[in-house]
Amino acid sequence: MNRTIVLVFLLPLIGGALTCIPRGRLQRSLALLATLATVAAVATHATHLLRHGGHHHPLGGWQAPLGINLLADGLSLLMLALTAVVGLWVSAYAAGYFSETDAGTSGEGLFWPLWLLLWGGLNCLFVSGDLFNIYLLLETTLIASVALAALGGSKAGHVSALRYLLAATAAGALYLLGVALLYSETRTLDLRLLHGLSPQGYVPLLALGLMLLGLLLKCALFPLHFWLPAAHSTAPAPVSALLSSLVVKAGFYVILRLWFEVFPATARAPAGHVLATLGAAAILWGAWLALRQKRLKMLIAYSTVSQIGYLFILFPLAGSHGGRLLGSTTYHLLSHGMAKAAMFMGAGALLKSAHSDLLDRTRGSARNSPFAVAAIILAGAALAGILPGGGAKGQLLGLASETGQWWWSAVIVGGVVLAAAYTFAAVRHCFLPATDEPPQATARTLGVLACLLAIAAIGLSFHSAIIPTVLEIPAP
Amino acid sequence: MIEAHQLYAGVAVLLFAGGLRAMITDAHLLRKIVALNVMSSGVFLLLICIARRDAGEFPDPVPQAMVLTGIVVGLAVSALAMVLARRIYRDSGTTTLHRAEAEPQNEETRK
Repeated sequence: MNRTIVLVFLLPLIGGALTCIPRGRLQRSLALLATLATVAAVATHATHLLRHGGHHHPLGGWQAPLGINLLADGLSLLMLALTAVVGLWVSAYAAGYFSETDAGTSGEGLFWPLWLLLWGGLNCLFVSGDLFNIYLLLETTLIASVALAALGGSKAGHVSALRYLLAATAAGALYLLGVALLYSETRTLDLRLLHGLSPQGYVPLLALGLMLLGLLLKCALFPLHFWLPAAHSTAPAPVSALLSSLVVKAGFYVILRLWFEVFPATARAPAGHVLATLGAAAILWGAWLALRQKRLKMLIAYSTVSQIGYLFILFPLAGSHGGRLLGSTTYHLLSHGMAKAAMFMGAGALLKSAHSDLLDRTRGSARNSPFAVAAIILAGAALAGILPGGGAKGQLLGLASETGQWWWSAVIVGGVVLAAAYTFAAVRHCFLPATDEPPQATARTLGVLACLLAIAAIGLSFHSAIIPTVLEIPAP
Repeated sequence: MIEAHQLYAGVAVLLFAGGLRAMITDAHLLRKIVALNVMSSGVFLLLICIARRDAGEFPDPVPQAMVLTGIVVGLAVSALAMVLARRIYRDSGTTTLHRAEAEPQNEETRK
């Protein structure tokens, strides 16, 4: 029996509890220790999983349907790995980011416990095999995310955090109503048992609809993205990176579980086309709005709205190319997670030296903060799918034309062009000569960290072939 | 003849729908927070009704456990929402998100 699956979420939660007590240097050291411990636990879990295959872990020895199962399979492992990589980088970045801000106003004392709580919640979500447990973890991560989003302390930050909380809690209630309906039909909440039952009929279908609606609101698919841009852009840079690269993906992860494991193929054919159409609208509308922004972090947040759309192109195509397509979509999810975190980190470093979020205040930054600007450009290239080892968008493009649904290809190409354009818009002012007061050259380490993560996102493209292999590891 | 569990389920759906409607249309933040709680009460009533419907001698304990846990989650979310609503009221003197956004940015002076 392998018990490291429990440590994967227990360690960050313990770290979160411990970092509530001290402040200052001791707190930061404790938080970094918890970060390293969590990454080590995920690495141990991954080694075990790759060597011995997936498994179920009944908590406390109680078997489903009475007990709650944890599951370890390929999809869950990839989500844990993304969270570990981005988490490690964000922790290192945050240690530098907050130490350069004036003490007292920075909110660092609250950042560490909330971030570790969020990490624990996300990791537990990714190994959870129970629909109600997933609801609780979605709400746990929501509370931590909202508190993090409000950390900036500005009025705009509070307003956007509260709008995020209200929208996502209503989404949670929709999801829970769906879970209740599904339970009334099937008498179980366990994903594996539900997979065996493959529920059919109109009540399970209604349940799927309600759960999907709630989850779409949580992962901000167009037109339910209204809460996202403000909430993600008013937060401090490390928080923006976490929210945009990890938290929105949690909702999508649950959709994947429901779609491919609980509900049989017949129930989902027309819904797939609706989801992909909304995804296509998100790609174009989000990218268009990103182009029109005057603030750097707002631009990046709208880019997230656009990139979320690509995830949903999967559904109508999945019928004939299930395995390969899931591989490409997961690849996009990982690639976007790393690139978007790098972009927000670069933006945070730039913002520190320019003292403003306005794009035209970043004039001259290319000379003073070269690494931060390079990070944004490299991350933008990854988002536009310009990757030396082959990007996810290229793979999606190929699959769309193979299935004869060429119209998705047109949307993907349009989205790629717009992504290149908004990356250009993001850094254009940095290369113009500085006007009166050039930005100060500070925060070099932050820029270097962001740059390294962007390079890692590009490096992933050389190893993207292992993603479908890992995805095929089942949990028996 | 309507059975008791059908009546309860109907009331649950009405509560949920009414809460959702108020959540979308009402602008006042306190009303939105109360509406959220009405929505989740609807779900809880449905769960209790499911627990009772197929009961032999004892009701099904799983939905009851879900309700208990759900109440705790609802409490935490409501508390956080009220803290944020109070902050917004203190900073801008308004009780709706739209008006708070329209207010001139006075937070710079406060910090």
